[in-house]
Amino acid sequence: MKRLMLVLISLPLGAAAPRGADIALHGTNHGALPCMVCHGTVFQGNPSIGAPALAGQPAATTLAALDAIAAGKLGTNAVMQNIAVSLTPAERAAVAGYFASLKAK
Amino acid sequence: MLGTLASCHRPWKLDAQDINVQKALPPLQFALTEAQTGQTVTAGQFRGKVVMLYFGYTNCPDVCPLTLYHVAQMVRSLGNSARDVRFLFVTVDPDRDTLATLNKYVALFGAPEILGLRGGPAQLQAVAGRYHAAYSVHPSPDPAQYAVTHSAAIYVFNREGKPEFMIAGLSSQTPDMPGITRDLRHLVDHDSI
Repeated sequence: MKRLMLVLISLPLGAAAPRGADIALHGTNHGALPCMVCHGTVFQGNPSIGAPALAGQPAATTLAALDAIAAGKLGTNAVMQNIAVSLTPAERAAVAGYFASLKAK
Repeated sequence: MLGTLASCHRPWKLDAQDINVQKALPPLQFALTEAQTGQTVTAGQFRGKVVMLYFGYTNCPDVCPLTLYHVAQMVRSLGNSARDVRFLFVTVDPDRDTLATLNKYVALFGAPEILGLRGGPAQLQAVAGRYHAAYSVHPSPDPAQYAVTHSAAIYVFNREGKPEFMIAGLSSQTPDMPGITRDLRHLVDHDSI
């Protein structure tokens, strides 16, 4: 009985909302590369590949950009488009929130 | 043990995205600096491992990050056999890719089997030329105009450093992950494909 209770208690944790920091640093196992790879280790952006700064962006800005990229209405980088498509709405919101929590570099 | 396995050798049918290069390329040979340790490493130090050799650069906007992402997934899916595999990422842009930059970059993909290697122009030219890997760097003060081109295939060598096959599909949007992984696993379990 005790074990069953532990399982029940741990369930909500297992189904926890995606963590923006995890996605940004490590990517997902279903198609999203770590954001850091192209946007820089402190998400300062990389002009040489057209990757904009993400640190300090308002969540709404990042979210709108991700939605537009996924819809093929923004950007020309196929890798980025595939990443945006692969992110669930909850994951997009999570990374957008994470970048908003960082100081602009 | 490996010899015993090889004695029941039958022709292995490679995945459609992999290309046999047993007769087309020379054995693994190089002397480059490993990014994490700063030490010179040579092909001999990787005897006993299945080696994937790749040429790229950390400012690559598409092909390199996609390839490394897929490689990391593939290596993880090997489970315990991953310890018998190494992926060597040789930078073709050593001017911008310092050892620290390179090491940080390869670590992002979360697979310790991926190592960053760097060499001077002569060392780089020697290893790239050996495998007919093309690359060119056109520096510019404007980062957006700094252009680098490179071959995108992965060269796979067996545990003895002999060439086996080329993986051409991991930079595509639709790599045949199960098929490519099967070829790699076969090479881990056998002397040769």
